[in-house]
Amino acid sequence: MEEVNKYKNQGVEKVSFDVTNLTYIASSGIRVVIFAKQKLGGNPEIEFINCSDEIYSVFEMTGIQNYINFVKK
Amino acid sequence: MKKLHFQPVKGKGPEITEAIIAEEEITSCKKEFFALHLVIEELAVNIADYAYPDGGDGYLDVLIDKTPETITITFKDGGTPFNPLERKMPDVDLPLEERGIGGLGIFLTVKKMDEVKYDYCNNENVLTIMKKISNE
Repeated sequence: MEEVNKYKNQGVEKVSFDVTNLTYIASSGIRVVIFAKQKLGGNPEIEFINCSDEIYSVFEMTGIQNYINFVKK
Repeated sequence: MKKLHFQPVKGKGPEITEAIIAEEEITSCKKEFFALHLVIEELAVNIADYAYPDGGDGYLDVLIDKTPETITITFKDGGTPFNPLERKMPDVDLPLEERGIGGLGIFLTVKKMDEVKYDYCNNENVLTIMKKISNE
């Protein structure tokens, strides 16, 4: 979250998370996405690259999957 | 039944999580491992960060009980009485812009487990989670 905070109000248009090697996510990960969307300013696009089905299921459970652009690379 | 003992210190939640999920009872739950990992982290981080706000000599006992059908994990601490199930659950239908960031951990815990129980007895917070195991 500190990392995201550094870019506050700097006109960030897109935040991209490469989660190719991520096997696991907890609520702290969900909070980072909410935080990025709310605090960066300018309603940036949120992108997840190579998100696993299990991690997607956590986004789905918390109802934020519709605010994320999921891409495979 | 296996019993693990920890000293919950602020910031040590991830370390406690790693120790619990390394136990054979947990690693052997192949299909449930992701959910168990997630939930154990939520609970361990909460206890480490908030059960003993003044620091000092706190404890966290974790009991793991595995049967052919279920895995049950009990978290016991002698810290501040706190029933996470009484927390207001986040409204997951709200637009993202209006969301709070509290309560997500316990929300996911309840969603991912088949049973979550809280009890306060003998000056201890006792939180028990149970998940059915698929045997394939």
